[in-house]
Amino acid sequence: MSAMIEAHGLRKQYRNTEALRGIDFSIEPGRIVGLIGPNGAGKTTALKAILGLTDFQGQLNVLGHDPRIGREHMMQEVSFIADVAVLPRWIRVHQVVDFVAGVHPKFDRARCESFLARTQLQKTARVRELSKGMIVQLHLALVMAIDARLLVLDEPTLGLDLLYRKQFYQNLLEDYFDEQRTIVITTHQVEEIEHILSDVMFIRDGRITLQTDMDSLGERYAEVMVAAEHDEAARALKPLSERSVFGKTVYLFDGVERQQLQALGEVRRPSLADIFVATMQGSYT
Amino acid sequence: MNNLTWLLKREFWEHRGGFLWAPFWTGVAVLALTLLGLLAGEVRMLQVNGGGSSSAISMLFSEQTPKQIEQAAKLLNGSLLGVNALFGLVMGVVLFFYLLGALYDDRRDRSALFWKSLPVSDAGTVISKALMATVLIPLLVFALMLVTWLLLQILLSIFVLIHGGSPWALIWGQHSFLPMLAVLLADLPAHMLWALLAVGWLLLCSAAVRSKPFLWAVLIPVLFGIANGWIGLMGVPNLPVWFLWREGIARMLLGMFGLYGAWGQTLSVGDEALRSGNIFGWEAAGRGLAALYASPGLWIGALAGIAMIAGAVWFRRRNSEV
Repeated sequence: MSAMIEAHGLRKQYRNTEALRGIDFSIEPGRIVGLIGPNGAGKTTALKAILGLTDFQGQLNVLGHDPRIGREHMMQEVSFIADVAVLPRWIRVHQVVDFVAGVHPKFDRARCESFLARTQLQKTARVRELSKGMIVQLHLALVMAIDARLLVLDEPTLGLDLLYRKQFYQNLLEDYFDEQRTIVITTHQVEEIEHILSDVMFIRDGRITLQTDMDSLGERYAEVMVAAEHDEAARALKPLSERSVFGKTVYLFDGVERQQLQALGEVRRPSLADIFVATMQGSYT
Repeated sequence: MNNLTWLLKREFWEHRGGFLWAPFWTGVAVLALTLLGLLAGEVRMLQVNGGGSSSAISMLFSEQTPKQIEQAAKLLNGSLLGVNALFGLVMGVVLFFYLLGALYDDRRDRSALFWKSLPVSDAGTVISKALMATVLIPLLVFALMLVTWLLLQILLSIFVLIHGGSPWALIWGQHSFLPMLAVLLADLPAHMLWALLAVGWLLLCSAAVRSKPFLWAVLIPVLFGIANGWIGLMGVPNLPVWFLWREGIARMLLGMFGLYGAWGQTLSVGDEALRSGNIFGWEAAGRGLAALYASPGLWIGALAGIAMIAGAVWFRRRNSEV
């Protein structure tokens, strides 16, 4: 199966800054891709380009469409949740369900209602009367009832409490995701999505600095807890970063032979957050 | 087409207060104030004439002289045009603010991102809003106006009847009763064409600006008008000042007001038709309407309005947030 999204030399110039500096990437079906980067790195711009919400230079193909042309056809196959609380505040729950059912040919109303039945949402309530968590439940129920091939999530759980955040990703995995669909997520809460991602892309200063699947990530990066007497040897292998824990030092290595590392101490798989922090050092300086 | 129906429904859901309840309560107010006025008149008569009051009014209605009937006709037509103007004014205020916010408010609160996550074209969205302001709301307001006016006539008929007069002779059987309604109906499409310029301009501002759509929408044409006047004072060739203000700037900002727009033309068309006493002059009415529809300004403005609606679509496609 061909790629869901394919970008070549994707470039976006704002008045004073270059948000995307000619990036290339491709995203296959059946993947959950985390697009991760510091603030202002170009994540949202990249998503906006994919969704046809902004102009850009270069080539971009989303499910066979150029997002700049005939967006409304592309959007039959693409769903997105941009941030929390973008549902119009005046609308009632039953109205927004009616509307989406009316305009979206791939919306399954019964499915949406069954999702809503699991929540406390009142049909006649207006969005402005709902809590942030409930708005996200409503939005998710709408989106999960759409038989789309690509789902784009831009900071979907921002401002939600832990319970809603957990529930959000759990619902997505259990009731929505399958090998035909692709999900692209940006978030700063890297720890929370780490276990559901199949691929990850790091973006920094408008460039993609890392694009890999999670398995290769585990092979490439390694973390070793080193006792003080081996510090010299560890530093000689040029670790990406080091931090001390309980009198020992934890070093993060990129692409160093396993055998060499095992001689230094216990080798572990580093968390995505640690790799992120190590590779993005100096982003704001 | 199916999408358009849903988009129109959405507009109505969001603005039910302005679209339905504002004209509805206008009608209620007209009827309530009329009723109060009639009651006050009765009471006043009682106080002045003691027990013989109603007979005093009744004497007024006991026989309908041609003079009386003519005066009643003037009252009838006046009430129609007056009620029509009042509804046009209310509609104008509602539509002015509706249009200014139509493509701006959802960008400000970011709900435009939700609407844009659905397979709906930007052109469809803009057209639904233009259609609402140009066609559907004028039709709805016209219907409510008509109901109000008919109820008003029923109210007056009861009053006339109580005092022994003939509602048929004074109201329902008047020669101008139906023709005046016909003139109003015939003017309705002209109003829609007339309003297009303002609808286009306000939607364009609403879609384009990053803040304060009201200021931009008002200041640009007004400053342009003032600048044009100054240029004229300096002796440099300019647009005729009055023409610019009346045909351009005023129409751009106030075209959707029924009173100012083509509904206002009804006043003159109707007046012209009624010049010869209470007999309706079809010929004069026809001439007036023909002149209205033949005026180039009406069509040029409408075309400019459509061009600006296209401009609003262009901006809508690019701007999804403020």
